[in-house]
Amino acid sequence: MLNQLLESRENPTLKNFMQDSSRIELTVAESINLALRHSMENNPSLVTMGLGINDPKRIFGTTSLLHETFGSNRVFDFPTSENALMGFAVGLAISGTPNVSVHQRSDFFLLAMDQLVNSAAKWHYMFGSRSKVPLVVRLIVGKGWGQGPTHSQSFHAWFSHVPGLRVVMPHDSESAYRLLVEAIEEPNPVIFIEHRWLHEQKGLIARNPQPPKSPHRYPSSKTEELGDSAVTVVSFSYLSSRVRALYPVFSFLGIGIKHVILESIKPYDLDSIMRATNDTGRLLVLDFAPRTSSFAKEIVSEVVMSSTETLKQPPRVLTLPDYIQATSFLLTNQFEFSDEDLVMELMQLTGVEALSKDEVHAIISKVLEVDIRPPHDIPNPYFKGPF
Amino acid sequence: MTNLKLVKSVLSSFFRIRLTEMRIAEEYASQLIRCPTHLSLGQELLPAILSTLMTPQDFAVSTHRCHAHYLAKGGNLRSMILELYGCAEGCAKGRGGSMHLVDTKVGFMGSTAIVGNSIPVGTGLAYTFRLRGIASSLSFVFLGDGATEEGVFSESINLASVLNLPVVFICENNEYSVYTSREFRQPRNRKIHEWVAAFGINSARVEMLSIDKSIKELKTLVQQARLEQKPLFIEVPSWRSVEHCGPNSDDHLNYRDPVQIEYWQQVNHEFRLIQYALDCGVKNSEIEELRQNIHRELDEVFSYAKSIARIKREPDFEELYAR
Repeated sequence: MLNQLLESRENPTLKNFMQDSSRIELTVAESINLALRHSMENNPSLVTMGLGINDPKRIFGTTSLLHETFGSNRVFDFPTSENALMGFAVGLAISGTPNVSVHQRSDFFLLAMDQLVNSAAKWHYMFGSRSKVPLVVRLIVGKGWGQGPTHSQSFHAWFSHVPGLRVVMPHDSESAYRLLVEAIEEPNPVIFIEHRWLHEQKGLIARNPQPPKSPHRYPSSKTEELGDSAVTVVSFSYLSSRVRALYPVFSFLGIGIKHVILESIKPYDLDSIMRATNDTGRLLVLDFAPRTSSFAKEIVSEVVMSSTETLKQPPRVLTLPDYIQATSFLLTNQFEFSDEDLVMELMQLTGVEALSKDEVHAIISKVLEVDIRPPHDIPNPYFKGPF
Repeated sequence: MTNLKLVKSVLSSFFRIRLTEMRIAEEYASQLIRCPTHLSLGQELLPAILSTLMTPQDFAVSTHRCHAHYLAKGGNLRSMILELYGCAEGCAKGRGGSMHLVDTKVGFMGSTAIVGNSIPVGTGLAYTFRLRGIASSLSFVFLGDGATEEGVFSESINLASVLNLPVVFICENNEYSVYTSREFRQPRNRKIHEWVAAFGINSARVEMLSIDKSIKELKTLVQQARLEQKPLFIEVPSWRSVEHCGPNSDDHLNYRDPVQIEYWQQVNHEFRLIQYALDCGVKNSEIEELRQNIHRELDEVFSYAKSIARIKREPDFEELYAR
């Protein structure tokens, strides 16, 4: 799709794109590709590298045509050395070469924790602000198709715990483009967490992506309102997409929600969360990592410490359980909370009549006009594996 | 015989490093330098010679034992001492201390305290030269024998080889990682520089016994790397004369081989260097004047540092992120 797009526009530059009067529909993967392309056109010093970046799959299509356009010096593959890759990226950044390194699964990135935490995050402050560290680390998280214990984790809670880092998570095509362009412009290390189940999702990119709130890009969030707000839901990344897909169901059930979508989680927009929670008095926070020490609970603890008077109910979280995710189809079925679980949490929080899981299942099927649900372990009905 | 100017340059750098380290050792007991300090005493000669082979357009990174490398690269002495005393005027604004020195004006981009941590960073610095079409600079990466056991060392050598980067890895092998001898950490009878050669890069061992030979060998190796813009690894047998961390001798703990202790005492770089300088035509009075000048500079710097070391400071967290 991107090929056709580019051919028809004769290699659009950022200038052309900004002048175009229509919005274009791109998948999240295409948006990321476009953000990289535009940023590399804009800044001849920018480079991007990672394991498999130029291979036939092109990191789920996100690095398509980059090598062909910008050459081997600026878009290059890398030995299987994640820790050296991160340190190399720091060396580039502090010598004036901003860069975007990418890891196909965030689980692999654990090998690079020393360079992330002790070099990237600290270099600017520790060395008396003599150097800037303009780098972005794209980490891809996801689940499904038996990814199993070591291919399905997300460590955003860990990263949010490290002073000196920024952490952002796109939730659709527009935010993917905007957050990546801004992350590249940011003169500090930014972890950019992409969820694989968003990559093929289509969305509209506005003609003028929301201008960066320079120099205050962060925190960044979006609040969507549905009906008479009765409960606040906080989400990020792929989970925001899941909540949005259920809007018709919430409407049907008469559950008005304020949906706060966090685009940056370090720092995160506590003000927006507090405003929405003070208004509704009820809070549900979603997460795709184990419950203990989860980022969802970080949010809840801040909310509770800031105001208990306005809370009508104790806040709740929906997270992964404190277990290791297995591989077998039969074992992963119940691992992440279902749409039914989500709806039932909101029903409980807002005091709507209690229904059984089967009854909720029937309602969702009816409202969304979906008779047969796809298996839990694929991102879309057309996915056939193997990766 | 090397030319007079070069010898005086090596001499000057040598004494600058050595007298500074000795002064730090003397002042340490006052407890105003309140951070772990790893002195380069006994390991001054190599950096002193390298100071004539490195330019401000080169990059360098180092380890916790970085004072000599910092000074040899042209790092500001005053800023270094003020950093040790935790002052806002220190090179890292007092945030780094002895282990985290920096002087970007002369290309000394930072020294870090996790063993091996700066090695991939130094390798990345070299790539910027390539992107900018600079074909006459080098990135110097200082490391010890302990760092060669870290995974990231092999990763970085492999990377420098595969990408063919102008990185000069300088391994000061002083046989000990804190108190643990290399014989417990690495395969016996395997020489570090021979192992590194298997990665397909130019790799050599330079002994620092004959001053003349050392200068010539190092010059040839570094010049070749600079001209050909290829990676280079140099292993240099070294010996620290005091404890791993701190100003005192600790040979009474008997953890080091007495034969080697004896050997290095007899090697005595200071003595050899002075002899060599005199043989080259440098006068005794010139050497003495050089030392006195450095002492005067140190007097002034330390006096100032001590006078401002206890001035109250406000937190500076607004600089946590760059703008």
